Parts: sequence; structure tokens; C-alpha cells
Amino acid sequence: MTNLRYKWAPFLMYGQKLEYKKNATVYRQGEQGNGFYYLDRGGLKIILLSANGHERTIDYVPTGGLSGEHGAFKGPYVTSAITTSPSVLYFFSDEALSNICKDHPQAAVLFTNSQIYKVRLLAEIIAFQDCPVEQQMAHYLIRLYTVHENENVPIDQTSFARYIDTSRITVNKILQKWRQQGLIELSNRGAIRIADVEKIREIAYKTGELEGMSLWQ
Amino acid sequence: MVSPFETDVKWESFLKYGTRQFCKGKTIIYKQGTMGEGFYYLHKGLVKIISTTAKGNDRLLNIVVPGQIMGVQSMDRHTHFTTAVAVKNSVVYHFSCAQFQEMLKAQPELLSLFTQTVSQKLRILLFAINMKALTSEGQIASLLLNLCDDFKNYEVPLTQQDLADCAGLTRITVYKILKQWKESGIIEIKNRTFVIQKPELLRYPYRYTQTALTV
Repeated sequence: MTNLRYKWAPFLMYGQKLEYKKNATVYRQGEQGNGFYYLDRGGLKIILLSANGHERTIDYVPTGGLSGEHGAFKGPYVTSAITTSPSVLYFFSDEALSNICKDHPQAAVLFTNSQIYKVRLLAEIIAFQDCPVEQQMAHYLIRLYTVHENENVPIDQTSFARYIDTSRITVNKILQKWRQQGLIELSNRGAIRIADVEKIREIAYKTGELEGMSLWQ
Repeated sequence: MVSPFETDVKWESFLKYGTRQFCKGKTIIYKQGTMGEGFYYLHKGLVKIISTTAKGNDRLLNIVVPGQIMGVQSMDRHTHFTTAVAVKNSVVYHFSCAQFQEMLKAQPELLSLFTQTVSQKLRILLFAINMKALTSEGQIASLLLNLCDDFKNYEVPLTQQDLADCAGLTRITVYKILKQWKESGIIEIKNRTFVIQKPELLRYPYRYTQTALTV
């Protein structure tokens, strides 16, 4: 992802600048798509709703990333996007996209790479679904740390539980354990600071014990 | 050639850019963890897509029938996160990243087709996330829905044996599940193929957890 961030910035003038308050829905799962978005400032979480109404957070889009590419070319949005703070986004219609690709042919490759990154993200979730919760949590913490390039990961425990798809109590127990071991610090503003990245990484990728792990590091 | 599937027709016109390859049944077309260089179009045969989880379990994600694209994940020139195995003797067309970029330049409308293809892969994976651990019944349901959603066609071009080979189940198990679905009016069996009458009934993951409890 780091090599995709901000790569779309040169094309922002083709888009339409939009401002959102916190907790605003940018696009909704199932709605007919009319284009995609670029997150310029703020934060965006991506939510998957299942047929029985179960909600799962599957991604936190970092600034400089694209979102809702599945809504290009009239495809229905397959997830929903909600702002996690006041945000500035740029919207690109199909027409804007085709104009960008006409003027800058390399943009099409950027666009497809960003789409494939999303497919990879989902494959990774599936790959860790059968791992113990503690390991899943470590894995996602490392992933958020890498994507946001900051050891202060802005996620509260409820959101974290929705990200791992477990209960908040389970998440709290493991976070408290890590805190006592000095691996993380919990601020009262609903953020997690990783104090020992290497230790968390170790928990996430116990390579020797799991035969498929080398495929997912 | 008349094809029942719309995406099929769309990709057919691009085959001249690809390289034709024959893959014997039960051989690997591309392997998880290896570097990818482009994607494949299945012209003839049947392919299953498996992903090995971090814990080392193999999870069947999808099956590919003629007219479908596989391996787009490696268009970003990173490693494959799935393995594609030819279930039957198959003919594929391979497109390298360079060829694809060439095609995109020649025909910019290809981006729309590619986006649709990738969005369908997203849907398959999202469905798999929601289904978590699948029972045999859930597995077959998800395979059928993936196919039908992609082709917008509810006539399934697979035999019971094909389904059994892909899901790693016996033909008897597949037969029992299909028979149950036939009785509840979800599918209709015609000659050797079958038509899904009520796809919405297959879509609820709840069904399978309940079945799993009662079995």
C-alpha cells in the first residue's frame, strides 16, 4: 500500500472536492456505483455487512489512498465507507476517470493496482481467519501500523473488535495483557501506541509454528 | 461463436493478445507464493482456486469455468495469494502485464471490463469472509453463486462430478445436497445440468450454520 499512497494526487484536479463530517456515509454497500474516491484528509473505514446484518470493519483507508473503485463503471458498491473524522475527499466519476486515463495512460495501471491491493487485503483477512485471536490482533495492529506509518494507531477497542470480528471483551483482555507486558500503551483517547513493534510482529508471525505463514508475511 | 455469457464474449475479442497454453488435468497453473506475471483466461476445461491460510489449511475459494479470468491478483507484479489447479484438461490464454498494458492503450474500454472482473473477485472474497467456516452445503452454495453472479446466468455449466472434484467431496454428498435443494425448489435439474431458481435462498450464511447444527 505504501507504494500506492499519494500516487493519485497529480490527478486531483479532475475530481470533485467534497467535505464530510465525522461518521458520514460516503458510499453504501449495494448502492449503484457512480464513481470512486480519494481520501485527501481525515479517515475512512470500510464496512462489510452480511446478509444477517452482521457488521465487520475490513479496512481503514489511509490518507492518499483510493476507495470505492468497485463503484466505477456503474458497478454496485460491495462495501460501505464511513468517515472516522472530519474528512476531505475527491470524487471521480467515470467520465473523470476516462479523461485521466486519456491524458495520462499510466493512471490506468495505478487504478488497477489499487483495485488489486483491495483484493489482496481481503485474501489476507481470509488467510488469518483460522488463527488464534491474539495472533490476528497482532497481525492487524502491524498492518495498521504499516499502512499509517505511525506507531500511534488510531483505533478504539470497539472498532478493533469489529476489525477482528470478535467481542470487545476478548480484545480488551488481550490488550490489557500486552499493556502489562509493556508491548503497547493505551491512551484514553481511544488509540493504541505500539511500544515494542518487534514483539508484536513476533506474535503475529510465529513462522515456525504455522506452515502457511511464510505465504502471508 | 454464440456464448451464453456476456463476459465471455467481451474477453474473447482480446484473445489474440494472449498466449495459448494447454494444462493437463490435476496440474498447477500458478502457485501461491510465486511471483506472478500477468493473468489467465480459461478457454476450455475447469479450474479450482485454493488459498493456503496462515495456519496451513487449504481453503477452496472459487472455481473457474470457460469464459472467466483468473490470476488478476498478480497484475501488480507481486506474488500470487492463491493456487490455480486444472481439475480437467484445460486450455488457457496467458496475458503478461506488458501485454495487458498494451491492450489497455489500444482499447481503453478494457479498463471497465477489468474493473468488473476485479469487483467480482472482491465479491467472492467478501462472501468467503462472511461464510468463515463452511459446511459442504455452504461450500457448494458459494461456488454456484460465484459463478452465477459473474455470468448473470443461473444455468450452471457444471456436472455433479465437476462440483465434487472441485469441493473435494464425494459425488454422493453433492447428489444429496442437490436433491435437498431440488425438493425445496431452490434448483431445477435438467438433463445433466441444473438451473438455480431461487439464488436468494442460497445467499444466507445462516442456512448452513443451522444445517451444520442439525446434521
